[in-house]
Amino acid sequence: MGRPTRVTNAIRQLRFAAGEMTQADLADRVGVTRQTIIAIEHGRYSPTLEMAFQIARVFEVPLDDAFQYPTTEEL
Amino acid sequence: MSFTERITWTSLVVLPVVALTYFTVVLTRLADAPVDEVSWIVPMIWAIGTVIVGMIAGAIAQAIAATIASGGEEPDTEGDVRDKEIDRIGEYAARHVTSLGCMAVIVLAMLRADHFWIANGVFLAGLVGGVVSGIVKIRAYRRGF
Repeated sequence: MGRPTRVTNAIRQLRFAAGEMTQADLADRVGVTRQTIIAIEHGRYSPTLEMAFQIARVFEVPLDDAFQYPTTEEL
Repeated sequence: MSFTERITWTSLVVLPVVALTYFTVVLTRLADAPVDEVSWIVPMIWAIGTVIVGMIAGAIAQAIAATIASGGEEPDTEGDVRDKEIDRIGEYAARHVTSLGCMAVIVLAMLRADHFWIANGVFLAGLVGGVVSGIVKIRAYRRGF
């Protein structure tokens, strides 16, 4: 089965760069469950636009630094 | 595993067990008597009651287990936006199944079928819809959507 979403993310790297923030800590800050953060990191769930902004805001990075979408050529 | 996913697993246990028990009882009776003489009302009431009680008891048990696992903190029983999306996906899938089942029951009514077939048709459609919903939700939880 192919990946359910083409959106990729750098959340795991951003967490480690932010003092090894845990998935639970990030989930608390965004207002979701730890399982949702896990699903996002593993590409099993594409977050809502609002949630994506909230995650990027936690790490104080632009949205494009937290989430990526393949270009037309890569598709 | 989130609380809402655990509740979904509970439904995937309760519904098939109740369905299997109920239809075993009723179909055994049907094998021994004409359809208009089969006693199905009390077993169906028991089955529906068992589903309701089973789901409530399962939810309570899951909440207690989650509270213990979190060291006394109140568990999140409402779910987040992802849980709600998965719930919508599951219910949407179930709607197709139950709609088909209800159409079949309408045909039975048009053919003036015995109440036994009509009631059990609706009951079966609901049970199958519930199971389909649970399977779709678990698939969404495990494989993504």
